[in-house]
Amino acid sequence: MSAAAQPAVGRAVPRRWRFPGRPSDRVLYGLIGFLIVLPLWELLPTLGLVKRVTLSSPSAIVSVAIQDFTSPAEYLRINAPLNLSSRVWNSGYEYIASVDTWPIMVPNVLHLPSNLWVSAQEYMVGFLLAAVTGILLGLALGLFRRFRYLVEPWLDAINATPTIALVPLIILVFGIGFTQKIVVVWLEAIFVITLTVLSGVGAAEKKHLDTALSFKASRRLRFTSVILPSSVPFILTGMRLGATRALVGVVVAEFLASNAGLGFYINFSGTTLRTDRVMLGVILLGMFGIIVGELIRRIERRFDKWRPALR
Amino acid sequence: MIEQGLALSARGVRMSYIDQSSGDRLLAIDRIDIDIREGEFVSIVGPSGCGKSTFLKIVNGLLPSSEGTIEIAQPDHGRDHAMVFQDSSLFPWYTVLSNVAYGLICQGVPKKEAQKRAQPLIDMVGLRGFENKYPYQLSGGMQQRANLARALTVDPEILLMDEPFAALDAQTRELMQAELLRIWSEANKTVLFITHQIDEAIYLSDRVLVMSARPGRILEDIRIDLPRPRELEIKRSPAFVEMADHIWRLISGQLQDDKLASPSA
Repeated sequence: MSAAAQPAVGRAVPRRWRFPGRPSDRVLYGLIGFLIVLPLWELLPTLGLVKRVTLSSPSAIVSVAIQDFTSPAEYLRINAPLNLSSRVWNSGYEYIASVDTWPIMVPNVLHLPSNLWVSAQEYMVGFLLAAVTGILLGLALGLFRRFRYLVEPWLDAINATPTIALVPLIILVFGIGFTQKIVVVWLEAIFVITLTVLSGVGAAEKKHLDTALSFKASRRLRFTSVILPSSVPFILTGMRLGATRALVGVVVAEFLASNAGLGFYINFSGTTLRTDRVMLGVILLGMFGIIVGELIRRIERRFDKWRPALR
Repeated sequence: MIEQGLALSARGVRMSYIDQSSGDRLLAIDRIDIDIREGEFVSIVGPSGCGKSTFLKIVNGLLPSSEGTIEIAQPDHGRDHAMVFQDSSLFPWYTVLSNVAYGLICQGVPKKEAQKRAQPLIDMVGLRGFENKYPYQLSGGMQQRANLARALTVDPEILLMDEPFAALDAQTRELMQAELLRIWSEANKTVLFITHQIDEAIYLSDRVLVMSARPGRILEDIRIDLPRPRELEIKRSPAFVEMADHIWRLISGQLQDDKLASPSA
Protein backbone atom coordinates (compact mmCIF):
# COMPACT_ATOMS: atom_id res chain seq x y z
CA MET A 1 0.00 0.00 0.00
CA SER A 2 1.96 2.99 -1.22
CA ALA A 3 1.24 6.48 -0.02
CA ALA A 4 0.27 7.46 -3.53
CA ALA A 5 -2.46 4.87 -3.68
CA GLN A 6 -4.15 6.01 -0.52
CA PRO A 7 -5.96 9.33 -0.51
CA ALA A 8 -4.78 11.66 2.20
CA VAL A 9 -7.42 11.80 4.86
CA GLY A 10 -7.07 13.95 7.91
CA ARG A 11 -7.44 12.20 11.20
CA ALA A 12 -10.94 12.70 12.50
CA VAL A 13 -10.06 11.53 15.97
CA PRO A 14 -6.75 12.56 17.47
CA ARG A 15 -4.60 9.64 18.42
CA ARG A 16 -3.91 9.20 22.09
CA TRP A 17 -0.47 10.33 23.01
CA ARG A 18 1.91 7.40 23.12
CA PHE A 19 5.47 7.50 24.21
CA PRO A 20 7.77 4.96 22.62
CA GLY A 21 7.85 1.49 24.13
CA ARG A 22 4.57 1.99 25.98
CA PRO A 23 3.38 -1.20 27.64
CA SER A 24 -0.12 -2.48 27.03
CA ASP A 25 -3.04 -1.14 28.99
CA ARG A 26 -3.23 -4.31 30.99
CA VAL A 27 0.30 -4.03 32.31
CA LEU A 28 -0.10 -0.33 32.90
CA TYR A 29 -3.21 -0.58 34.99
CA GLY A 30 -1.79 -3.54 36.84
CA LEU A 31 1.20 -1.47 37.80
CA ILE A 32 -0.98 1.45 38.78
CA GLY A 33 -2.94 -0.80 41.10
CA PHE A 34 0.30 -1.91 42.65
CA LEU A 35 1.48 1.63 43.11
CA ILE A 36 -1.72 2.55 44.89
CA VAL A 37 -1.90 -0.42 47.22
CA LEU A 38 1.69 -0.60 48.37
CA PRO A 39 2.04 2.92 49.82
CA LEU A 40 -1.41 2.68 51.39
CA TRP A 41 -0.46 -0.57 53.00
CA GLU A 42 2.75 0.96 54.27
CA LEU A 43 1.04 4.01 55.66
CA LEU A 44 -2.05 2.44 57.21
CA PRO A 45 -0.42 1.53 60.52
CA THR A 46 1.47 4.81 60.63
CA LEU A 47 -1.77 6.70 60.31
CA GLY A 48 -3.14 4.69 63.18
CA LEU A 49 -5.94 3.16 61.12
CA VAL A 50 -4.74 -0.38 61.56
CA LYS A 51 -2.58 -1.95 64.19
CA ARG A 52 0.86 -2.78 62.88
CA VAL A 53 0.50 -6.34 63.97
CA THR A 54 -2.64 -6.95 61.92
CA LEU A 55 -1.44 -6.41 58.39
CA SER A 56 2.25 -5.71 58.71
CA SER A 57 3.72 -3.50 56.03
CA PRO A 58 5.64 -3.99 52.79
CA SER A 59 8.87 -2.69 54.26
CA ALA A 60 8.70 -5.09 57.20
CA ILE A 61 7.92 -7.96 54.88
CA VAL A 62 10.84 -7.20 52.65
CA SER A 63 13.27 -6.88 55.54
CA VAL A 64 12.19 -10.14 57.18
CA ALA A 65 12.40 -11.80 53.79
CA ILE A 66 16.00 -10.76 53.47
CA GLN A 67 16.64 -11.92 56.98
CA ASP A 68 15.07 -15.34 56.62
CA PHE A 69 16.55 -16.04 53.23
CA THR A 70 20.09 -15.19 54.17
CA SER A 71 20.28 -16.42 57.74
CA PRO A 72 22.17 -19.66 58.23
CA ALA A 73 20.36 -22.96 58.28
CA GLU A 74 21.79 -23.85 61.63
CA TYR A 75 23.45 -21.80 64.23
CA LEU A 76 25.61 -22.34 67.18
CA ARG A 77 24.03 -22.01 70.57
CA ILE A 78 26.75 -21.39 73.06
CA ASN A 79 24.97 -19.23 75.56
CA ALA A 80 21.92 -21.30 76.07
CA PRO A 81 20.09 -20.51 79.31
CA LEU A 82 20.12 -24.16 80.16
CA ASN A 83 23.08 -26.05 78.88
CA LEU A 84 21.68 -29.12 77.32
CA SER A 85 23.78 -31.79 75.81
CA SER A 86 22.71 -32.58 72.27
CA ARG A 87 22.34 -36.24 73.03
CA VAL A 88 19.74 -35.55 75.65
CA TRP A 89 17.96 -32.97 73.51
CA ASN A 90 17.42 -35.51 70.80
CA SER A 91 16.03 -38.17 73.09
CA GLY A 92 12.88 -36.15 73.46
CA TYR A 93 11.62 -37.71 76.62
CA GLU A 94 13.26 -35.70 79.27
CA TYR A 95 15.97 -33.15 79.62
CA ILE A 96 18.50 -32.80 82.33
CA ALA A 97 20.04 -29.53 83.20
CA SER A 98 23.70 -30.27 83.04
CA VAL A 99 26.84 -28.28 83.39
CA ASP A 100 27.87 -29.17 79.86
CA THR A 101 29.10 -26.15 78.07
CA TRP A 102 29.74 -27.73 74.75
CA PRO A 103 28.20 -25.68 71.98
CA ILE A 104 25.52 -27.31 69.92
CA MET A 105 24.11 -26.74 66.45
CA VAL A 106 20.51 -25.77 66.60
CA PRO A 107 18.48 -25.78 63.41
CA ASN A 108 17.07 -22.45 62.39
CA VAL A 109 13.39 -23.24 62.02
CA LEU A 110 12.74 -19.99 60.26
CA HIS A 111 15.29 -20.58 57.54
CA LEU A 112 13.21 -20.01 54.43
CA PRO A 113 15.17 -21.86 51.80
CA SER A 114 15.10 -25.12 53.77
CA ASN A 115 11.42 -24.69 54.62
CA LEU A 116 10.60 -24.00 51.01
CA TRP A 117 12.54 -27.04 49.95
CA VAL A 118 10.70 -29.26 52.40
CA SER A 119 7.33 -28.05 51.19
CA ALA A 120 8.44 -28.34 47.58
CA GLN A 121 9.44 -31.95 48.08
CA GLU A 122 6.16 -32.82 49.75
CA TYR A 123 4.31 -31.09 46.94
CA MET A 124 6.16 -32.63 44.05
CA VAL A 125 6.11 -36.18 45.30
CA GLY A 126 2.50 -35.99 46.45
CA PHE A 127 1.26 -34.29 43.31
CA LEU A 128 3.13 -36.59 40.97
CA LEU A 129 1.75 -39.63 42.75
CA ALA A 130 -1.74 -38.15 42.63
CA ALA A 131 -1.35 -37.35 38.94
CA VAL A 132 -0.21 -40.83 37.96
CA THR A 133 -2.69 -42.71 40.11
CA GLY A 134 -5.47 -40.26 39.35
CA ILE A 135 -5.06 -40.52 35.59
CA LEU A 136 -4.83 -44.30 35.64
CA LEU A 137 -7.80 -44.58 37.96
CA GLY A 138 -9.85 -42.14 35.91
CA LEU A 139 -9.13 -44.02 32.69
CA ALA A 140 -9.88 -47.38 34.28
CA LEU A 141 -13.16 -46.10 35.68
CA GLY A 142 -14.09 -44.67 32.33
CA LEU A 143 -13.31 -47.80 30.38
CA PHE A 144 -14.64 -50.53 32.62
CA ARG A 145 -18.22 -49.96 33.53
CA ARG A 146 -18.50 -52.54 36.29
CA PHE A 147 -15.30 -51.40 37.92
CA ARG A 148 -16.82 -47.96 38.09
CA TYR A 149 -20.02 -49.21 39.71
CA LEU A 150 -17.85 -50.94 42.29
CA VAL A 151 -15.59 -48.06 43.17
CA GLU A 152 -17.64 -44.92 42.60
CA PRO A 153 -19.66 -44.89 45.85
CA TRP A 154 -16.47 -45.03 47.91
CA LEU A 155 -14.86 -42.36 45.80
CA ASP A 156 -17.81 -40.03 46.18
CA ALA A 157 -17.93 -40.58 49.92
CA ILE A 158 -14.29 -39.80 50.55
CA ASN A 159 -14.32 -36.93 48.10
CA ALA A 160 -17.19 -35.31 49.91
CA THR A 161 -15.30 -35.40 53.20
CA PRO A 162 -12.99 -32.48 53.85
CA THR A 163 -9.44 -33.80 53.97
CA ILE A 164 -8.72 -31.96 57.19
CA ALA A 165 -11.11 -34.24 58.98
CA LEU A 166 -9.26 -37.26 57.68
CA VAL A 167 -5.82 -36.13 58.77
CA PRO A 168 -6.03 -37.50 62.34
CA LEU A 169 -6.83 -40.88 60.83
CA ILE A 170 -3.92 -40.57 58.48
CA ILE A 171 -1.63 -39.73 61.36
CA LEU A 172 -2.81 -42.78 63.23
CA VAL A 173 -1.90 -44.99 60.28
CA PHE A 174 1.24 -43.32 58.98
CA GLY A 175 2.54 -41.51 62.00
CA ILE A 176 3.95 -38.06 61.60
CA GLY A 177 6.56 -37.54 58.97
CA PHE A 178 7.23 -37.22 55.28
CA THR A 179 5.03 -40.18 54.34
CA GLN A 180 2.08 -38.77 56.20
CA LYS A 181 2.43 -35.44 54.42
CA ILE A 182 2.61 -37.17 51.05
CA VAL A 183 -0.57 -39.05 51.82
CA VAL A 184 -2.42 -35.86 52.71
CA VAL A 185 -1.26 -34.10 49.56
CA TRP A 186 -2.10 -37.15 47.47
CA LEU A 187 -5.54 -37.46 48.99
CA GLU A 188 -6.37 -33.82 48.47
CA ALA A 189 -5.37 -33.84 44.80
CA ILE A 190 -6.38 -37.25 43.52
CA PHE A 191 -10.13 -36.88 43.49
CA VAL A 192 -10.38 -33.88 41.27
CA ILE A 193 -7.91 -35.47 38.86
CA THR A 194 -9.75 -38.78 38.77
CA LEU A 195 -13.17 -37.25 38.28
CA THR A 196 -11.98 -34.92 35.54
CA VAL A 197 -10.25 -37.72 33.65
CA LEU A 198 -13.32 -39.89 34.06
CA SER A 199 -15.51 -37.30 32.41
CA GLY A 200 -12.86 -37.01 29.72
CA VAL A 201 -13.24 -40.64 28.77
CA GLY A 202 -16.97 -40.14 28.47
CA ALA A 203 -16.45 -37.13 26.28
CA ALA A 204 -15.01 -39.08 23.39
CA GLU A 205 -17.28 -38.24 20.50
CA LYS A 206 -19.55 -40.90 19.12
CA LYS A 207 -18.69 -40.03 15.54
CA HIS A 208 -15.02 -40.76 16.17
CA LEU A 209 -15.82 -44.04 17.88
CA ASP A 210 -18.09 -44.92 14.96
CA THR A 211 -15.29 -44.16 12.54
CA ALA A 212 -12.94 -46.44 14.43
CA LEU A 213 -15.59 -49.16 14.55
CA SER A 214 -16.34 -48.88 10.87
CA PHE A 215 -12.69 -49.54 10.11
CA LYS A 216 -12.84 -52.51 12.49
CA ALA A 217 -10.31 -51.12 14.95
CA SER A 218 -9.41 -53.39 17.83
CA ARG A 219 -10.37 -52.40 21.35
CA ARG A 220 -6.80 -51.42 22.08
CA LEU A 221 -6.56 -49.30 18.94
CA ARG A 222 -9.84 -47.64 19.75
CA PHE A 223 -8.35 -46.65 23.07
CA THR A 224 -5.10 -45.26 21.71
CA SER A 225 -6.52 -43.60 18.63
CA VAL A 226 -9.80 -42.18 19.90
CA ILE A 227 -10.37 -42.31 23.63
CA LEU A 228 -6.92 -41.31 24.81
CA PRO A 229 -6.50 -38.31 22.49
CA SER A 230 -10.02 -37.15 23.31
CA SER A 231 -9.17 -37.31 26.99
CA VAL A 232 -5.98 -35.28 26.80
CA PRO A 233 -7.60 -31.85 27.36
CA PHE A 234 -9.43 -33.28 30.34
CA ILE A 235 -6.29 -34.86 31.72
CA LEU A 236 -4.53 -31.51 31.54
CA THR A 237 -7.42 -29.68 33.14
CA GLY A 238 -7.48 -32.27 35.88
CA MET A 239 -3.77 -31.73 36.45
CA ARG A 240 -4.25 -28.00 36.67
CA LEU A 241 -7.03 -28.39 39.24
CA GLY A 242 -5.09 -31.06 41.06
CA ALA A 243 -2.06 -28.79 41.29
CA THR A 244 -4.09 -26.25 43.22
CA ARG A 245 -5.56 -28.85 45.52
CA ALA A 246 -2.16 -30.40 46.16
CA LEU A 247 -0.93 -27.05 47.44
CA VAL A 248 -3.86 -26.95 49.82
CA GLY A 249 -2.87 -30.42 50.95
CA VAL A 250 0.66 -29.30 51.73
CA VAL A 251 -0.53 -26.41 53.85
CA VAL A 252 -3.15 -28.52 55.64
CA ALA A 253 -0.64 -31.22 56.47
CA GLU A 254 1.90 -28.73 57.71
CA PHE A 255 -0.51 -26.71 59.77
CA LEU A 256 -1.72 -29.74 61.62
CA ALA A 257 1.41 -31.71 62.28
CA SER A 258 4.75 -30.51 61.12
CA ASN A 259 7.91 -28.82 62.26
CA ALA A 260 9.15 -27.74 58.88
CA GLY A 261 7.85 -26.37 55.65
CA LEU A 262 6.09 -23.25 54.47
CA GLY A 263 2.85 -24.09 56.23
CA PHE A 264 4.73 -24.60 59.44
CA TYR A 265 6.54 -21.30 58.88
CA ILE A 266 3.24 -19.47 58.52
CA ASN A 267 1.60 -21.19 61.45
CA PHE A 268 4.56 -20.79 63.76
CA SER A 269 4.96 -17.15 62.92
CA GLY A 270 1.26 -16.67 63.48
CA THR A 271 1.41 -18.05 66.96
CA THR A 272 4.29 -15.70 67.75
CA LEU A 273 2.39 -12.77 66.25
CA ARG A 274 5.04 -12.15 63.62
CA THR A 275 2.62 -10.94 60.97
CA ASP A 276 5.46 -9.90 58.70
CA ARG A 277 6.53 -13.51 58.43
CA VAL A 278 2.94 -14.66 58.04
CA MET A 279 2.40 -12.27 55.17
CA LEU A 280 5.67 -13.28 53.59
CA GLY A 281 4.75 -16.94 53.84
CA VAL A 282 1.35 -16.33 52.32
CA ILE A 283 2.82 -14.35 49.47
CA LEU A 284 5.40 -17.05 48.77
CA LEU A 285 2.66 -19.65 48.81
CA GLY A 286 0.64 -17.67 46.32
CA MET A 287 3.63 -17.22 44.08
CA PHE A 288 4.32 -20.92 44.16
CA GLY A 289 0.76 -21.67 43.14
CA ILE A 290 0.90 -19.18 40.30
CA ILE A 291 4.15 -20.57 38.98
CA VAL A 292 2.90 -24.14 38.99
CA GLY A 293 -0.35 -23.10 37.34
CA GLU A 294 1.51 -21.23 34.65
CA LEU A 295 3.80 -24.21 33.99
CA ILE A 296 0.84 -26.46 33.43
CA ARG A 297 -0.83 -23.90 31.23
CA ARG A 298 2.29 -23.88 29.07
CA ILE A 299 2.08 -27.65 28.74
CA GLU A 300 -1.59 -27.39 27.84
CA ARG A 301 -0.78 -24.99 25.06
CA ARG A 302 1.59 -27.45 23.43
CA PHE A 303 -1.29 -29.86 22.99
CA ASP A 304 -3.43 -27.21 21.41
CA LYS A 305 -2.11 -27.64 17.92
CA TRP A 306 -5.08 -29.66 16.87
CA ARG A 307 -7.83 -27.64 18.47
CA PRO A 308 -7.22 -23.92 18.58
CA ALA A 309 -10.95 -23.35 18.32
CA LEU A 310 -11.47 -24.37 21.90
CA ARG A 311 -9.05 -21.82 23.27
CA MET B 1 -22.28 -66.77 -2.38
CA ILE B 2 -22.93 -63.61 -4.25
CA GLU B 3 -23.77 -63.69 -7.91
CA GLN B 4 -20.92 -63.08 -10.32
CA GLY B 5 -20.51 -59.44 -11.34
CA LEU B 6 -22.39 -58.05 -8.37
CA ALA B 7 -20.71 -56.05 -5.68
CA LEU B 8 -23.61 -55.98 -3.26
CA SER B 9 -26.79 -57.95 -2.94
CA ALA B 10 -29.42 -57.14 -0.34
CA ARG B 11 -32.50 -59.27 0.11
CA GLY B 12 -35.48 -58.64 2.30
CA VAL B 13 -33.72 -56.28 4.65
CA ARG B 14 -35.95 -55.11 7.43
CA MET B 15 -35.15 -53.11 10.49
CA SER B 16 -37.30 -52.44 13.50
CA TYR B 17 -36.54 -50.91 16.85
CA ILE B 18 -38.20 -50.14 20.16
CA ASP B 19 -39.22 -46.51 20.46
CA GLN B 20 -37.84 -45.09 23.70
CA SER B 21 -40.82 -43.00 24.72
CA SER B 22 -43.80 -45.05 23.63
CA GLY B 23 -42.34 -48.53 23.99
CA ASP B 24 -43.77 -49.55 20.63
CA ARG B 25 -41.88 -51.54 18.11
CA LEU B 26 -41.41 -49.26 15.12
CA LEU B 27 -40.35 -50.21 11.64
CA ALA B 28 -37.51 -48.16 10.24
CA ILE B 29 -37.03 -50.12 7.05
CA ASP B 30 -39.87 -52.11 5.60
CA ARG B 31 -38.20 -54.12 2.91
CA ILE B 32 -35.21 -53.48 0.74
CA ASP B 33 -33.98 -55.59 -2.17
CA ILE B 34 -31.05 -54.18 -4.07
CA ASP B 35 -28.49 -55.52 -6.47
CA ILE B 36 -25.50 -53.38 -7.28
CA ARG B 37 -23.16 -54.32 -10.09
CA GLU B 38 -19.44 -53.94 -9.83
CA GLY B 39 -18.31 -50.48 -10.79
CA GLU B 40 -21.79 -49.00 -10.58
CA PHE B 41 -22.59 -45.72 -8.91
CA VAL B 42 -25.91 -46.08 -7.14
CA SER B 43 -27.68 -43.39 -5.13
CA ILE B 44 -30.51 -43.66 -2.69
CA VAL B 45 -32.72 -40.57 -2.42
CA GLY B 46 -35.55 -40.13 -0.03
CA PRO B 47 -37.19 -37.80 2.44
CA SER B 48 -35.55 -37.17 5.80
CA GLY B 49 -35.86 -39.97 8.27
CA CYS B 50 -36.83 -42.56 5.67
CA GLY B 51 -34.17 -44.95 6.80
CA LYS B 52 -31.56 -44.51 4.08
CA SER B 53 -28.76 -43.72 6.50
CA THR B 54 -29.92 -46.61 8.64
CA PHE B 55 -29.67 -48.93 5.67
CA LEU B 56 -26.14 -47.77 5.02
CA LYS B 57 -25.20 -48.40 8.62
CA ILE B 58 -26.61 -51.90 8.32
CA VAL B 59 -24.50 -52.55 5.23
CA ASN B 60 -21.52 -51.15 7.08
CA GLY B 61 -22.11 -53.39 10.05
CA LEU B 62 -22.59 -50.59 12.56
CA LEU B 63 -26.20 -51.62 13.07
CA PRO B 64 -27.80 -55.04 12.93
CA SER B 65 -30.81 -55.66 10.75
CA SER B 66 -33.87 -57.40 12.11
CA GLU B 67 -34.36 -59.51 9.04
CA GLY B 68 -32.89 -60.13 5.65
CA THR B 69 -29.43 -60.69 4.25
CA ILE B 70 -26.74 -58.54 2.79
CA GLU B 71 -24.00 -60.05 0.75
CA ILE B 72 -20.95 -58.18 -0.36
CA ALA B 73 -18.47 -59.61 -2.82
CA GLN B 74 -15.28 -60.67 -1.09
CA PRO B 75 -12.29 -59.07 -2.73
CA ASP B 76 -8.91 -60.76 -3.06
CA HIS B 77 -7.34 -57.98 -1.12
CA GLY B 78 -8.47 -54.98 0.83
CA ARG B 79 -11.78 -54.76 2.66
CA ASP B 80 -15.22 -55.50 1.51
CA HIS B 81 -16.48 -52.00 2.19
CA ALA B 82 -15.48 -48.62 3.56
CA MET B 83 -17.56 -45.70 4.68
CA VAL B 84 -17.39 -41.97 4.22
CA PHE B 85 -19.35 -40.20 6.90
CA GLN B 86 -21.50 -37.14 6.77
CA ASP B 87 -19.71 -34.55 8.77
CA SER B 88 -16.00 -34.57 8.95
CA SER B 89 -15.10 -37.52 11.04
CA LEU B 90 -11.39 -37.07 10.60
CA PHE B 91 -9.53 -37.31 13.88
CA PRO B 92 -8.57 -33.77 14.82
CA TRP B 93 -5.48 -35.04 16.61
CA TYR B 94 -3.99 -36.77 13.56
CA THR B 95 -2.45 -35.17 10.53
CA VAL B 96 -4.06 -35.72 7.15
CA LEU B 97 -1.53 -38.43 6.38
CA SER B 98 -2.14 -40.28 9.62
CA ASN B 99 -5.86 -39.97 9.12
CA VAL B 100 -5.82 -41.32 5.60
CA ALA B 101 -3.57 -44.18 6.66
CA TYR B 102 -5.83 -45.03 9.59
CA GLY B 103 -7.88 -47.65 7.79
CA LEU B 104 -4.79 -49.63 6.96
CA ILE B 105 -3.43 -49.32 10.48
CA CYS B 106 -6.68 -50.80 11.76
CA GLN B 107 -5.94 -53.77 9.55
CA GLY B 108 -2.59 -54.22 11.21
CA VAL B 109 -0.40 -52.70 8.52
CA PRO B 110 2.70 -51.09 10.05
CA LYS B 111 2.59 -47.32 10.23
CA LYS B 112 5.31 -46.52 7.68
CA GLU B 113 3.89 -48.92 5.13
CA ALA B 114 0.37 -47.60 5.69
CA GLN B 115 1.48 -44.04 5.16
CA LYS B 116 3.34 -45.00 2.01
CA ARG B 117 0.20 -46.58 0.59
CA ALA B 118 -1.91 -43.64 1.64
CA GLN B 119 0.19 -41.08 -0.22
CA PRO B 120 -1.01 -41.79 -3.80
CA LEU B 121 -4.59 -41.50 -2.65
CA ILE B 122 -3.92 -38.18 -1.02
CA ASP B 123 -2.60 -37.05 -4.38
CA MET B 124 -5.59 -38.48 -6.17
CA VAL B 125 -8.09 -36.47 -4.17
CA GLY B 126 -6.08 -33.33 -4.77
CA LEU B 127 -4.54 -32.86 -1.35
CA ARG B 128 -0.89 -33.21 -2.27
CA GLY B 129 1.17 -30.97 -0.03
CA PHE B 130 -1.32 -31.06 2.80
CA GLU B 131 -0.19 -34.33 4.29
CA ASN B 132 1.16 -32.79 7.48
CA LYS B 133 -1.66 -30.38 8.11
CA TYR B 134 -4.22 -30.92 10.80
CA PRO B 135 -7.94 -31.09 9.96
CA TYR B 136 -8.67 -27.73 11.54
CA GLN B 137 -6.36 -26.18 8.97
CA LEU B 138 -8.43 -27.52 6.09
CA SER B 139 -11.69 -26.25 4.63
CA GLY B 140 -14.81 -28.40 4.72
CA GLY B 141 -14.36 -29.53 1.15
CA MET B 142 -10.77 -30.51 1.77
CA GLN B 143 -11.71 -32.42 4.89
CA GLN B 144 -14.21 -34.45 2.92
CA ARG B 145 -11.57 -35.16 0.30
CA ALA B 146 -9.35 -36.50 3.06
CA ASN B 147 -12.30 -38.50 4.31
CA LEU B 148 -12.71 -39.97 0.84
CA ALA B 149 -9.00 -40.73 0.57
CA ARG B 150 -9.16 -42.56 3.87
CA ALA B 151 -11.98 -44.75 2.64
CA LEU B 152 -10.28 -45.42 -0.67
CA THR B 153 -6.97 -46.36 0.94
CA VAL B 154 -8.32 -49.65 2.24
CA ASP B 155 -9.22 -50.57 -1.33
CA PRO B 156 -12.82 -51.47 -0.57
CA GLU B 157 -15.07 -53.52 -2.80
CA ILE B 158 -17.86 -51.02 -2.30
CA LEU B 159 -17.66 -47.43 -1.14
CA LEU B 160 -20.48 -46.30 1.14
CA MET B 161 -21.12 -42.59 1.31
CA ASP B 162 -23.59 -41.12 3.78
CA GLU B 163 -24.51 -37.60 2.63
CA PRO B 164 -20.85 -36.63 2.53
CA PHE B 165 -21.48 -33.17 1.14
CA ALA B 166 -24.35 -32.22 3.41
CA ALA B 167 -22.23 -29.97 5.60
CA LEU B 168 -20.73 -28.02 2.71
CA ASP B 169 -21.99 -24.77 1.24
CA ALA B 170 -23.82 -24.99 -2.08
CA GLN B 171 -20.93 -23.94 -4.30
CA THR B 172 -18.35 -26.18 -2.69
CA ARG B 173 -20.91 -28.94 -2.84
CA GLU B 174 -21.24 -28.67 -6.60
CA LEU B 175 -17.50 -28.58 -7.08
CA MET B 176 -17.08 -31.62 -4.86
CA GLN B 177 -19.67 -33.51 -6.88
CA ALA B 178 -17.63 -32.95 -10.02
CA GLU B 179 -14.48 -33.90 -8.13
CA LEU B 180 -16.07 -37.06 -6.87
CA LEU B 181 -16.92 -38.15 -10.38
CA ARG B 182 -13.36 -37.48 -11.50
CA ILE B 183 -11.94 -39.51 -8.60
CA TRP B 184 -14.48 -42.25 -9.13
CA SER B 185 -13.62 -42.69 -12.78
CA GLU B 186 -9.96 -42.94 -11.80
CA ALA B 187 -10.45 -45.27 -8.84
CA ASN B 188 -13.11 -47.36 -10.54
CA LYS B 189 -15.02 -48.36 -7.45
CA THR B 190 -18.56 -49.42 -6.74
CA VAL B 191 -20.36 -46.68 -4.83
CA LEU B 192 -23.52 -46.60 -2.75
CA PHE B 193 -24.35 -42.94 -2.16
CA ILE B 194 -26.99 -41.58 0.17
CA THR B 195 -28.38 -38.11 -0.29
CA HIS B 196 -31.54 -36.14 0.04
CA GLN B 197 -30.63 -33.82 -2.83
CA ILE B 198 -32.23 -35.06 -6.01
CA ASP B 199 -29.98 -33.25 -8.45
CA GLU B 200 -26.93 -34.59 -6.68
CA ALA B 201 -28.22 -38.14 -6.97
CA ILE B 202 -29.03 -37.88 -10.67
CA TYR B 203 -25.80 -36.09 -11.55
CA LEU B 204 -23.57 -38.64 -9.90
CA SER B 205 -25.26 -41.97 -10.46
CA ASP B 206 -25.88 -44.74 -12.91
CA ARG B 207 -29.01 -45.66 -10.98
CA VAL B 208 -31.14 -43.80 -8.50
CA LEU B 209 -33.25 -45.66 -5.98
CA VAL B 210 -36.10 -43.60 -4.64
CA MET B 211 -37.03 -44.50 -1.11
CA SER B 212 -40.36 -43.99 0.56
CA ALA B 213 -40.91 -42.25 3.86
CA ARG B 214 -40.62 -44.31 7.00
CA PRO B 215 -40.93 -47.27 7.06
CA GLY B 216 -38.62 -47.16 4.09
CA ARG B 217 -38.91 -49.25 0.99
CA ILE B 218 -37.76 -48.75 -2.58
CA LEU B 219 -40.41 -47.01 -4.59
CA GLU B 220 -38.63 -46.97 -7.91
CA ASP B 221 -35.30 -47.94 -9.40
CA ILE B 222 -34.43 -45.38 -12.07
CA ARG B 223 -31.70 -45.91 -14.60
CA ILE B 224 -29.84 -42.68 -15.43
CA ASP B 225 -28.89 -42.85 -19.08
CA LEU B 226 -27.00 -39.60 -19.28
CA PRO B 227 -23.64 -39.96 -20.99
CA ARG B 228 -20.36 -39.85 -19.11
CA PRO B 229 -18.17 -37.96 -18.41
CA ARG B 230 -20.73 -35.51 -17.05
CA GLU B 231 -20.14 -31.80 -16.69
CA LEU B 232 -22.03 -29.77 -14.11
CA GLU B 233 -23.91 -28.03 -16.94
CA ILE B 234 -25.78 -31.23 -17.56
CA LYS B 235 -27.97 -30.32 -14.62
CA ARG B 236 -29.74 -27.82 -16.84
CA SER B 237 -30.42 -30.20 -19.70
CA PRO B 238 -34.06 -31.10 -20.40
CA ALA B 239 -33.55 -34.80 -19.80
CA PHE B 240 -32.02 -34.06 -16.43
CA VAL B 241 -34.75 -31.67 -15.42
CA GLU B 242 -37.39 -34.17 -16.44
CA MET B 243 -35.89 -36.88 -14.30
CA ALA B 244 -35.50 -34.55 -11.38
CA ASP B 245 -39.10 -33.53 -11.73
CA HIS B 246 -40.25 -37.12 -11.78
CA ILE B 247 -38.33 -38.00 -8.65
CA TRP B 248 -39.47 -34.89 -6.91
CA ARG B 249 -43.07 -35.79 -7.56
CA LEU B 250 -42.48 -39.23 -6.15
CA ILE B 251 -40.93 -37.85 -3.02
CA SER B 252 -43.33 -34.98 -2.46
CA GLY B 253 -46.15 -37.46 -2.86
CA GLN B 254 -44.48 -39.31 -0.04
CA LEU B 255 -44.27 -36.19 2.06
CA GLN B 256 -47.98 -35.55 1.58
CA ASP B 257 -48.86 -39.09 2.55
CA ASP B 258 -46.62 -38.88 5.53
CA LYS B 259 -48.40 -35.77 6.75
CA LEU B 260 -51.83 -37.32 6.33
CA ALA B 261 -51.00 -40.71 7.74
CA SER B 262 -48.99 -40.21 10.91
CA PRO B 263 -50.85 -38.33 13.62
CA SER B 264 -47.82 -36.94 15.42
CA ALA B 265 -46.13 -35.46 12.31
